[in-house]
Amino acid sequence: MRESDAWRTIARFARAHDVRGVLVAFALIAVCDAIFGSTVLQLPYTGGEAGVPFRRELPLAFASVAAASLSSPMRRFEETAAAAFRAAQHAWLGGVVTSAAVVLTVEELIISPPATAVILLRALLVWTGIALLSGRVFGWRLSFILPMASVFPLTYWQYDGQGRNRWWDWTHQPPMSLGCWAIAGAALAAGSLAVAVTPWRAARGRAHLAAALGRTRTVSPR
Amino acid sequence: MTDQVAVGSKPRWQVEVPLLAATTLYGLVAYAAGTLVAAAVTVRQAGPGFLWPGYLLLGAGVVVLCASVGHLVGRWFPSGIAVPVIAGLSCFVALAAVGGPGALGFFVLSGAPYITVVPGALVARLVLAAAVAALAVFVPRPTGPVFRGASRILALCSVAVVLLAVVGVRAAGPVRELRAAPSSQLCTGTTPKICVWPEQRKYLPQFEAMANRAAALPAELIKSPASFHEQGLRGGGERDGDFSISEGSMWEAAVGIGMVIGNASEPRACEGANPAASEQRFQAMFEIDSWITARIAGGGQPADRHGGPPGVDQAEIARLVTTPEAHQIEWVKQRMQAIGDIHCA
Repeated sequence: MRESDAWRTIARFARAHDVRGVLVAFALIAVCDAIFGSTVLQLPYTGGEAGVPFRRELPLAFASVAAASLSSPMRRFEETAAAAFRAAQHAWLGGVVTSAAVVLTVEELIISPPATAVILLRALLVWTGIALLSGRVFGWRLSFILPMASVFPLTYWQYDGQGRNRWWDWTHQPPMSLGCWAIAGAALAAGSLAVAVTPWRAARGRAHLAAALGRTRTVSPR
Repeated sequence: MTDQVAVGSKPRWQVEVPLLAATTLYGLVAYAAGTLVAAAVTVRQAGPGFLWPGYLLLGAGVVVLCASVGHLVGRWFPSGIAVPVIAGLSCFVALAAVGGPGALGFFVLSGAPYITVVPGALVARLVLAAAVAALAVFVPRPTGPVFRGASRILALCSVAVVLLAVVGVRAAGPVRELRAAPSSQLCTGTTPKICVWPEQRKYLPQFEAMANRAAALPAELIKSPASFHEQGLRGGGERDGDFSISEGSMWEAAVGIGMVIGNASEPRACEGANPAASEQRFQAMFEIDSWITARIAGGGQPADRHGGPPGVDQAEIARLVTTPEAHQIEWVKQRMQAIGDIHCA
């Protein structure tokens, strides 16, 4: 393939994956972060009302957009086992998530203390994993469902009896919190698995499972 | 082909209405699911104020409003990825900035029984939601075919109605107001008696136990008022000395009642001559109040509560109330003494 052909292919793939929408969304989230990031949202929690800066929840939007960008008008066609399409999807996803990470980190390093930038980057990784899982379960366009659902425990049950943030509150635990990095690792692993579990692999898995269960069923009556 | 011609000749808004209705239905179904769970959990203990429809309608209006904004954005910028972000973020930012109970009042986070929804203000907000829905349906895409005749009149009217509705929301005033004191109060049959709104019926047995524990406080030290009232029960909104049941927490109620008992029992103290003297007085008062609170709550501060008067070790208070009565009386006497002993200004 000539170089110009390769670029044309990438451009076509990007267009099918609504690259314009992704760019507009990223720009809008970045602007929201800059203007409203410090706005404190008064949200109910177990002990009354607590203030959460808007910025802490914004990586969720980046992650959901990145996962949603796997959708395309040609998704049925892409969901074939063609290796080239799989490679293109992986490269696209890697590119979009990296772009989101770069935009978020650079912006936060400019307007927030470095620790906040690290915490929000970590939150982006956690929510990217969750969004990919959600996308696989509900369809890529609906990859925001599980990340949105995770906001509830993060803003309602985040404090323990002493008023400290719980170990799993990945939007507030300090940058070096091991538990939160473990969550980020687990979420990314789950997200990667969700991307890997393609319809044909799931079908093959079900067939194996049925075969295994069928064998035990023939054995068990004896 | 007949079908396509039929659809193609339809006015645009007839195509848009089912789409917006479908989106709105998704939102309302999710909202109804939450409401039904809340209803199922609370129906057995429900008092007369079970699920006030005013708050539910206010929420449903916001669902329609935001779905309409999303529909409008989607018509102008058809992108399955960008539109949820644009519509979601703009609705969220706008609601968080000016939609709160203290501003335009499109949402509330909690509703105490002494506050109620104003019907006129609620209707104004529902009219605005309906007007924005009409706008989303009737206003065409800027790049679409030129619209003529009836469509143009409908579009212009919907814009005008939205503007009028915005004015109406401002004119209708705050969405909540203080409720008049109830004609009949719900009180424990104890001395001292504790009175609450009829809506709080389910807490009555707990307040009965609390009143009995208040009656069991050592009489030589503690002078309890004869009655306690929940906020707003005596009319005129919040007043000092009345307790609230914040998020259903009996501990918060005990804190409020404990402070009133403390005020009635502690010796009248003068202004301290210096900061140290004032601090000594407040420290002793805070400690006595905390002890009374833990006594009438039937134990120390629960794990899901934190905060409290400054300088008081709540864990120590929790241990103190489990010690013999004589030891507790001695502990309180020391502090009463400390209040009387300060250097006066």
